[in-house]
Order: sequence, then C-alpha cells, then structure tokens
Amino acid sequence: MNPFFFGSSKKPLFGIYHPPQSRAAKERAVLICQPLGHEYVRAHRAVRQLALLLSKAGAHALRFDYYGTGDSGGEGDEGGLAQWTQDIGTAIDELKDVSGASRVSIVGVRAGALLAVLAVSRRRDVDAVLLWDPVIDGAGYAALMDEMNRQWLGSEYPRVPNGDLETSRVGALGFHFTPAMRRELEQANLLSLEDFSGKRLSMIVSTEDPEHRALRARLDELRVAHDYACVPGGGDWARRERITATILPHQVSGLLQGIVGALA
Amino acid sequence: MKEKAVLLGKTRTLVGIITDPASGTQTPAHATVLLLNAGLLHRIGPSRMYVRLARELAAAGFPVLRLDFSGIGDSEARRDNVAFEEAALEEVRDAMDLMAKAKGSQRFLLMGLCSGADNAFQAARVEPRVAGIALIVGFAYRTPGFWLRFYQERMLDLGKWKQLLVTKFGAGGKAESEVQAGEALDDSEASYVRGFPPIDQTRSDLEAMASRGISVLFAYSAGQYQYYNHAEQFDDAFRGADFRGRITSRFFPSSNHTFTRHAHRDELIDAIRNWAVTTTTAGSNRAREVGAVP
Repeated sequence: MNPFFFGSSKKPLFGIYHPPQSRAAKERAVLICQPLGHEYVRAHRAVRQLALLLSKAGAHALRFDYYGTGDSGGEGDEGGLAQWTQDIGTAIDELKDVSGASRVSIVGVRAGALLAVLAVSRRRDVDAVLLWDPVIDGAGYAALMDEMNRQWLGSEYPRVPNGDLETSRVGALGFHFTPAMRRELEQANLLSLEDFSGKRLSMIVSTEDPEHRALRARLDELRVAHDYACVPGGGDWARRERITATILPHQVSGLLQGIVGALA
Repeated sequence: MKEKAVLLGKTRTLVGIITDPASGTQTPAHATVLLLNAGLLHRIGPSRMYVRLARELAAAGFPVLRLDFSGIGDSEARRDNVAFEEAALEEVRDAMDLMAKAKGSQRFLLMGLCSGADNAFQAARVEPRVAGIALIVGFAYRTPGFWLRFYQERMLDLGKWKQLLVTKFGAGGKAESEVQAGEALDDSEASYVRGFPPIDQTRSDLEAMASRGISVLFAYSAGQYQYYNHAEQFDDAFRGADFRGRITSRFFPSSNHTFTRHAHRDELIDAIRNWAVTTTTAGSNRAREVGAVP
C-alpha cells in the first residue's frame, strides 16, 4: 500500500496504490472512482477492502480522492463535475504510469460511476467499466441529496426552519454542494450516453431499479457489451437512518467478491 | 502550505498526512499538532473538518499530522491483541517520534472530536511531550444547573408531552430509557460507545496536567444535550479546582455533535486556531521566564 499525492502541484490529488500481491493470468490495472459527500465517507472502508481484494487477486489497484474532496488539495466548494471527470483522466494516466499497464479497468461507486462513464466514454485505453450501485441520473441524485439533507438537518436542528438552513453557503450533510456543482450534475444522465465503444460495461447493484433497465436498454441501442448482477445487501443509500453508518466490508462481501470476479 | 502522505508506526502500516506550514512561517514557539480519529471516521474528520483545521493551523505556522489509528480508515488492524486505548497511546507516541525525526518537533498539541478527544486526554495524562490538548465534545459532567435546564426544556417541548402520553396510555408504547452518559458517533453496528471517567478522577487528572504546564481547551456543542447544555457548566462542575488558568471551556450553543453546518465548523476552527496560537505563545514565554528551552 502506497499513499501518495499526484497530478499537478496546483491541484494535487491524493491516492493509495495497491500493487499486485499475486501473479494473475492476465495483468490488470483497476482504478476505483469513489462516491461523493457523505456516501464517500460511508463507503471508505468498503472501498479500501475492494482495493485489497483486487490486489490479492493480482491486479494493480488505485483509489483516489477528487479535487476538493478527501485528502486531495482544494476546498470543498472548488470541485464540480468538469473538474472531477478531469481528475479521473489524471488518475488513469497515473495508474498506467505506476503499473506499466497500457489499458485499465474502472470501478465507479454511486456518483463515482456517473463520473467514470462520462470521463472515459471516449478513451481508448479503458477496456472495462464496472458500476457499483450507479447514479444514472444526476438530477435525481441531486434531488435525493436535497431530501436527505432536509431530513438530516431537520433531525439535527429541530428548531431551525428548513428554509433557513444553509442559506448562505449551500451544503449537503456538511459537504459542499454548490449551485454550480448542482447545475453540472443535473445535466448529467447516463441514458443520454452517445458513445461507449471498445469497452465492456458491467453493473452490480444491491437493489433493483427501473433506471438500471433503462441504462441496459440504452447500451443495447449503442451495441455496447454489458452485463448485470443484483447482489442484495449493501448501501441503503436512500435511507436517512443510514446516513452516518459506515458500510462495513462484511456487509458487502458478496458484492465485492462479484466485482473482483468480474475484473481480476 | 504543503501536504505529504506518510506511513508510520513500528510496522509502517498507519497512514497519515503531514500538512506543513509555508516555509518561513514556522517559529520555535509553534508546537506540532496531531489530529486523532473521531470515532470510526478516517483522518479527514467529520465533513472533512480535520483537513480544513490542519490547513488553518499550518497557515498559522503549525506543522500538523492527521493520522488513522490501526483498524481505522486506511491503517491496517493490529495483530497483537492490544486493547484499543493502549494501542492508541502507543500510536500517538509513534506519530510524535515520526514528527520529532522529520521536523524536530519536541512539543505537541493533540486534538480530536469524540473518541479523538478521549484519546488526546489519555495521552496527555502520561506523555511528557504534550503541551496542550483541544477536546472537541470531550468529557462532560452534569450539574444541578444542567438538570434545571434539561427539564425546563422538556417541560416546554410539545413532542415530549405527546411521547409521554403515548408511553402512558398508548398500546405498545416503549418507556423512554434513562439518559445515558455514553453515546455513539454514528448508528452503524461498529459504533464507538463512550463512557466518561468519574468526575473526581478527571478533576485530579486536569489539576496534574495544569501543574505540568499543559493547556486544555474543552469545546462543547449543543449536540451533547444529554450531558452538556450551557456555557457555565464546566466551571460549575469543577468549582474549587486548581487549574492555574490553563484549562478553558467554550460552548457552541447552536451546533450539533459533529459541527455539520459550515458556519458552526468555521466558528470551531477559529476558536481552536486562536487557542493554539495563544497557548503556545504563552507557553513559550513562560518557558523563557524560567530559563528553560522552549
């Protein structure tokens, strides 16, 4: 395990590289794109476990924080969809450099799945993208964050009228969610995907959702090879009661094994 | 300001981030700051609070190390069956050794929220290199003034009356459990559940720290409503104790437990930075007065 900063000195990104712990039949390099905001915090330990499992299965694994998130440079209000998709490109280049691989695979978790697909749709050095409980519609995700934020702040600050919460500096669950970030996210929708040629797309989800079917239909239209699996148990992403609950690796062990099996 | 990732500890399996002040802004008066995990949250802290706090402190001239204890965040779990509290103290010492070697640090300020506060307190009891501790939602003790406000508030709370009626007369209603001094930072199965030491022991520990020249800041929030609810409570709880002017408290009457709202977080970070600057400057002056090496 090697924690380090990479990218430009003006916008450093934090990542942890896990070198292969065994020899695999086919060398793999896997980049993990994490969720955003409180979902990033909830998934942190499970994402670490995923990187360890990939490394044990013989893959080079890199997980990293987008600009303005986690340990990376920048303040919380400085990021945005354009910046974060650019960061994914920077991380792919870094992973190719440290691993020596010419092509990489991507795992995108929640909003990280949306960002990953947008970031790599036209790249030729990515051969597979696996989406874990993906956010497919940015506008729907923004609405979910609003509702979670309203419920959370309402329970934490019962005497403050909802309309008065975070009027000066918009935030969701303590993380920044600025109007600019919202505008960018609301325009992003994987059902509008135009090009995903040369890559396989896999979805592994903890609960069935009509959006998943819609995305598979869109991939059929684009003639993109894809597969899908539902492994119950996991995030409970839309439940307010789970908003601060760490996702423990054993709670998603089946899902993590499924991801490793698909990629390593 | 520059940030660097490090692996530390005897097995080099603990992950930390050093935030260095810009060259030329660090002075001998500046101690090095260690930020300790808040519950199970990794080293960025609640809502990334520790990242901002580290950068603000570095801008004021303090080198800062944010680290993950073993088994938390990115750090590997230990394999030696040492109890968490004992391991935390050993790992605080590992972090001090690293910063002593890398930066020449000899004096340390330890800071943390919830379990981070508890671990900072325990380290300060026994570790001579600690110059100060900032305890965010640290130990608290209920006083008559606390209970008066606690019940006044409940008397005026319509929801509590409804709950009482349901409890008394509703089918299947559960009796409200007694308010506990312990609490959980989150509702996951692996929550950190706290227990506070007896007040006499805490008073004695704080007097001993004060006599050793250690400064302490208790930062309480309204999110601790089960055991802290007004600004004067700390002074009331420890009335008559000899703290030599080194132990201070601050109450944030609008904040929740983890300072979720940006405005409350800003206020907390300002308070801690100002305390760190004041306490190390005063400590340095005191040391010069008696001819000791700062």
